[in-house]
Amino acid sequence: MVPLSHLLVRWLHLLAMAVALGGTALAWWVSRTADATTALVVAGRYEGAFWGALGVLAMTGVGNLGALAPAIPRGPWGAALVAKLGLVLAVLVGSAVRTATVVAARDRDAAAAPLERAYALTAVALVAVVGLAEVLAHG
Amino acid sequence: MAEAGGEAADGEAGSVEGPDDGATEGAADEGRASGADPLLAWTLASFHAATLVVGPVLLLYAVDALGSLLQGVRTVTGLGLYLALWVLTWWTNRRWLAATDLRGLRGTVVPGATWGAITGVGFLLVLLVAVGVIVREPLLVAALAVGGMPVSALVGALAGAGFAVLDLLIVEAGRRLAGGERAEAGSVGRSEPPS
Repeated sequence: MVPLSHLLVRWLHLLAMAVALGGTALAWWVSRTADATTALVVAGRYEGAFWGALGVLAMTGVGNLGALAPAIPRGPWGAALVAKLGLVLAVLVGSAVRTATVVAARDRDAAAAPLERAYALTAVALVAVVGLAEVLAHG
Repeated sequence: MAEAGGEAADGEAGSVEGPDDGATEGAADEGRASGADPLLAWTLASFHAATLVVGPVLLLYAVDALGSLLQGVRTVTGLGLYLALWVLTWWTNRRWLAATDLRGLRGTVVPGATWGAITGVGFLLVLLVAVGVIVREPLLVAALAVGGMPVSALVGALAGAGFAVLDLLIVEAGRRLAGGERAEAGSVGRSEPPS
């Protein structure tokens, strides 16, 4: 039987990814359709939620790995894990640049910030992370 | 600092009081208190905490040491330690952002190393509390405190300096992507002189 704490960790992990990916898709859509001022307001609010979700994802991701300890698999499963962790690191750095862009654009009231591309790229990367998570969960 | 305040008066610097701050209300209040942009402080703290976990997990898995390490940590303990690291990093990042103008390498890295050392020592104290609660061996905790203090300060300082350089590059990249040509790094890091 799976302990309650592991179920909670998995639930939090999924919820955090839903917030991160769903919020990215929403921010991308708003940056495409709304005026620059509205897009920047939504982006500012989204970035706070995104980083909260990403923190929870990292925290619960390690918790998920802990459920497999001590025999964490290697081989193809391990290669998928390494790819996922590497991609997560890339998402972390890329998202920090994206948020810094939002902060700088907001500070200058700059309407030309490339938010649409940034959110599209983030969404693609997060979909890839979800795909790798699916491979890790089900092979 | 004076330039940052002047820019704020001209409407060029970062506003920390707008309705679109994005960070939590608590973060906003703390950010206002320290003079750092609350969204930037929240972002960098979350970025640092997540990187400090994901990077080592990747390395530990590569050397086949992850399983044995995770086996020794209970889920609740692990979550608690991560939360402690996150909160601690958020607090020190606010202080660091308030202490730097994000204009030059030296002015950014030195406070980064200082607050990184404080983060390292602070996290060691959290670890010692956890160890003390789990093993209930005061002598072991005292020995770890004495031996671990300089090590954690050094490791924290190195990590803080490294993150400061990375953050400087990230903020600069964000500024360029936002379309700014002028060197306005200070306006990103803080919007007004610290009180």
